[in-house]
Amino acid sequence: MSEVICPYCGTPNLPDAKECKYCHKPLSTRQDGEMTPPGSDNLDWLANLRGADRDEPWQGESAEENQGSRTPGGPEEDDVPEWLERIRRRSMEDRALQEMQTPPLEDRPDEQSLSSPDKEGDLPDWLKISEEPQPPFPSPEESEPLGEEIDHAGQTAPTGTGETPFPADLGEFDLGMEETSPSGEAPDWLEQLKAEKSQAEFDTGELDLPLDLEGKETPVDSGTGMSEGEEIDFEAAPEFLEQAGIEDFTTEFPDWIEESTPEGGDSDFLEKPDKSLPDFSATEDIGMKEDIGFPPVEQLPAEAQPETTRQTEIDRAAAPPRRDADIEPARLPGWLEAIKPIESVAPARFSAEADNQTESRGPLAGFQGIIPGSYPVTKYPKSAVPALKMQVTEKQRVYANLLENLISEEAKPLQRKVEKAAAPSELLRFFVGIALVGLLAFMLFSGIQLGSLPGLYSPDTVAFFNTIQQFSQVQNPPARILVAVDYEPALAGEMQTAARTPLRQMLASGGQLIMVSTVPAGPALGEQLVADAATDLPVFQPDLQVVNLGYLVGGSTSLASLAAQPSIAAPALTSGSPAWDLPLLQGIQSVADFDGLLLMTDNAETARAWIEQVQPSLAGKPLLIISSAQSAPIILPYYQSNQVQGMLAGLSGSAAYEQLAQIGASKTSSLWGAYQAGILFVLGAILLGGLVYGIRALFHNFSRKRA
Amino acid sequence: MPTDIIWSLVAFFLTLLVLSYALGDNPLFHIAAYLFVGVTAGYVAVLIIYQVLLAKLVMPILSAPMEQKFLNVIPLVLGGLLIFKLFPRTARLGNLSMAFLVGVGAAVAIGGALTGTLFGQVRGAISPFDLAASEEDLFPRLAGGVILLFGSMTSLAYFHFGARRQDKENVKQPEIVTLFAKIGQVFIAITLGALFAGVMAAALTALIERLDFIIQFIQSLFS
Repeated sequence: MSEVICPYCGTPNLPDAKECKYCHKPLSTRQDGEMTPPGSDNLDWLANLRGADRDEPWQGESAEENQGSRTPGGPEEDDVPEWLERIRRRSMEDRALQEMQTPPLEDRPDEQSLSSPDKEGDLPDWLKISEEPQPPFPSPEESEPLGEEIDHAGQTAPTGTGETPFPADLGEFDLGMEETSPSGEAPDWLEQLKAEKSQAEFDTGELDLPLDLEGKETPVDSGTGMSEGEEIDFEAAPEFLEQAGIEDFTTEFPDWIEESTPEGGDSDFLEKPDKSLPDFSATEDIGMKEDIGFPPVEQLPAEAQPETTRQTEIDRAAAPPRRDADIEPARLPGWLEAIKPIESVAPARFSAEADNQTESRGPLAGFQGIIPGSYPVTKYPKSAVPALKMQVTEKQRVYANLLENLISEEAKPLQRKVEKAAAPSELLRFFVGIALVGLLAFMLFSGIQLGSLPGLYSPDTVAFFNTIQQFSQVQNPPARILVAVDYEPALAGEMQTAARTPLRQMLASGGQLIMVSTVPAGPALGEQLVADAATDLPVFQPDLQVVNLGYLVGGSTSLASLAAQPSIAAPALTSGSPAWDLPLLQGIQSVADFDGLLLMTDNAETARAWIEQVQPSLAGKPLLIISSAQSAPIILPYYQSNQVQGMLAGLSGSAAYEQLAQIGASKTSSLWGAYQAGILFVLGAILLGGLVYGIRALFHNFSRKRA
Repeated sequence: MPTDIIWSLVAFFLTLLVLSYALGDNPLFHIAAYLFVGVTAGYVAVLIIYQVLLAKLVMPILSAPMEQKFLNVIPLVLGGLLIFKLFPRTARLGNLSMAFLVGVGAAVAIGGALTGTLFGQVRGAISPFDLAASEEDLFPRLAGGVILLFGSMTSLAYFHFGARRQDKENVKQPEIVTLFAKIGQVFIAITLGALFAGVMAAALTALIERLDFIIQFIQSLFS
């Protein structure tokens, strides 16, 4: 034998396997290769097996146990082995229990047939429960000794149903059944057992044979297995039941069988294998391969030719079990079969009574034979509805309320806090504006001076003045100053006022101004600035003293280009004509060739760009800045670091410059009074506003503390 | 002179329109604003065409010698690629020009900032302490240098946000840094006050100049 069959699940294993590869139960192998369950050296394991499922007899099992319990010498009661005695004793006990118990509906044999043949302790609970009720019919070995049973086999069939005819010679018939087993795979132990039994019967000549078979050949009905001419008394109780003391034998089917009877009441379905039922013979969980149905006549050669059949069976028992090499049957271990309650989830067939039920409620009331669609639903109780009332402690309730308040506060929109203004903002702005404009206009119109021009001069203004004076003193040739007009038109009033006097001095001394700009409006503002500065100058030659190179596009990059090659950075005049052919620009190769750079800007960033990009290329030539007052604080550090040689900031710087230059009446001096008045007004407004808001805050805090 | 009067009249009315903002946002101010925007845009466009494109791009190609024409074509090509930036599908074609502009601009700005501002300001901060430079006004120069240095340190300390973790919960700056930061706030406040004063003075000067123009114009009308 090439492999070992597991006695529990029937799975073939390797010969040297210690345990089943499928169910992992130990495999005890004898020396001849045959396998026996652990803990049993003889056929006691069969008694244990019987003890495990003794309460679950069914049709196929009856035939199986008939074969297993059949003794070769029926008359010799003393030769009955011990295991058979134990089986008979237990059969008697079971039969006594049958009298007291009626099998419930759920204990039908087809359901029990799925129970696991394992030990009782391995069964699941639901199988243990279903194991207790007894089947409605006794198994053949429980009825009477086999010898007598065989003697009466020709009269009545010892079936559990009481009405189903049974073959007369169950022993021979079992052999035929094994031959017609669908799977044809009997375990080795069973094959060995059969072979030993058949050989012993053959050798001793004590094989039980029907009388008819010994003397003559009797035709046998294929359906019942009975001899021709025999009649079955369906109303009479079997003899083995009478011997067992069962008097209330009835020919009626149990309720569960009645309910499962097909329409028409034909009971023939009991005589044939129910094809709708699962093929339990395919399951090997109990080690049995016999078909539960009766074989056809042509598959019963043993009745006609007993000798040949016996020899064939002996040969087959000695031969290895047949296998279906192509299709491996589904093998599930017993425990897995037990936990697969197919019948529990499969819809059960409704009884004929339910089919004939008349609908009493609903729109189909009065109709009969309605498909009871609601029956399975109403069969189950309603699911338990959990209580909706939450049990919370007082502490949890407090926390929940607190969380709810927090969430509700977050969901509320924030209320915009509107501060009360002392006066409407637009009205206040209007009055402040009107007051300032009126004050300045009055000061300009009246020409009142609140104070003298500044007498203290900042170092940057003094340095600026000194540098301009140096430019004015340069003669033959006159100083050529690069003038950068980089301020926006918005601050042109301040810038022109501050730059007018220095430019006028340079132009008056014959200085030459080459103007460039990095802002688009710069060229126009430069021309206006020069025109304004040269007003009423006795000696001024615009074509010889002023060159406007126009707009430098590119910001810092253009400044770097201008510092390196001015002729490439600014090749033409604003009119479009070439600039560097003019005599004014002859000899200019770089910014270092200019005598100085005068930057006029209102933006600190622009001033920083000129300082960073151009100032290093000036080669020590002075860089002067005329800036707006708003950018002076940022530009001033460059003067302190000697990167800028002078600076003039705003109107105050211009006033200081005019004081240094000792220029009498000028536009700066005419604006100086209004400027001072405006500064005082703004200071007063700031102080008054701060005082008002300070007092309000003080009273507000006082009122809050008082409240 | 009639031309000057016309232009002075236009300037007078435009000045009044702008000053009307003191009464709040009104259509007169909007008219002046739209007019300035339009005039500025037109002026800039003409300026770019005549002083940039023609003067610095077209004319060099036309008038320059042959060997320089090819060099002048390069900015023309790069400038032409920038047109593709107007369309999302072809915007990638302008990346080369943008890369050139950004790269050159960044290099120029960083180099100028290092050499012109950083090194120059550091040198200016330490120059008052150069005793060998000049003995004239030594004490005021040293005092100014100390104030300048202290103000620079404290102002920088105010922008120092680093702190040490003392335990699992407290993160605290060193006390000396905290003290310097508070002193630095004073210097920063003085600086911002000076800037505000400068802005206010510049705006006030511009207003005074415009009012003076209006007064001069009115006086010229009646004189």
